[in-house]
Amino acid sequence: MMKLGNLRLATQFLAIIIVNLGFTQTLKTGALCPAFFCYGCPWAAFACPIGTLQNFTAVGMFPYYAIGTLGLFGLTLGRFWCGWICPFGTVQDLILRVRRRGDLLNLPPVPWTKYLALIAIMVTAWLTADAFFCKLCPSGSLFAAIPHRFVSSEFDFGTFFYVHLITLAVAIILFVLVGRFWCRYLCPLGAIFGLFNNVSILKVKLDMTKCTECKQCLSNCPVNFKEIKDIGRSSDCIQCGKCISECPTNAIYISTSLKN
Amino acid sequence: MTERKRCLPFVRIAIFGLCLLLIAARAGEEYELVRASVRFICINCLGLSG
Repeated sequence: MMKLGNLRLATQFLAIIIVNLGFTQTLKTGALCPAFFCYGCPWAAFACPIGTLQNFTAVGMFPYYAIGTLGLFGLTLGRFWCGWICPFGTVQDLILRVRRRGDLLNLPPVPWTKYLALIAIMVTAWLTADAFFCKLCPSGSLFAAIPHRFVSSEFDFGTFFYVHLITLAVAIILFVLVGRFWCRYLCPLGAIFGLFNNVSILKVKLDMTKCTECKQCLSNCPVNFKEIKDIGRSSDCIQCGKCISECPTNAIYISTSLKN
Repeated sequence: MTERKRCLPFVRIAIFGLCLLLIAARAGEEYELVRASVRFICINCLGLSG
């Protein structure tokens, strides 16, 4: 049977292919992407949820469809989307694989910063009547601005292209220093999905009757949890399942129960 | 079984119902708006000009 880590990696790469299937106008859908992936990407098949929320906020419309869809995404998988699907998360995981060490900067968990980021992004969109965050977004830099520069020869550099390069460079430095920095501290979509971590149908669960509290599960945690109680429950938990492979007593598992 | 665990299925049904209602309210027109934004390249947002 395929190891959980390999299965996750395969899912992440499959997700990168699927979100990039919009290489013709017909294949570009109006469905929301359940991950932080820029719809400015030349081959994007789905809409960025944060870009969509900003666009609706900017024009003063309530995003019924976007909020309903995000609710369904959150209810089904919570932050599984972050750990198993998100292309920007995959980039951070790849950097972690290259680095092969624990966090170089030991930052404490601060779950509210991503909510602050989400609020700031929406308030800015409303005040500027524009999707202003898109001009700074490091995911947009990596998946849209840079590819467009090479794919679409009719475009030239503008001021915000250099801003994109700077934000991406800063982001990559932070990813090298701190594992999954974006997901832990800044991701506005992670903030939304994090709200559902306690109610999502698919989730990582800890069976306290089997747990010996050896904390072996925390040794390889990409979000650097220090407490066992945070596994699967904290809004920071990206449900990657690395703790499942580490647990010597099989106390951690993926629950798919509809009841509890 | 704790109170929280007992309530969970009902919370899930409530969220599911609310989300379906939200989607059903404007899905047709908003889907097309979102689709248009995927098809349109915001060169201003990406810092490109041309």
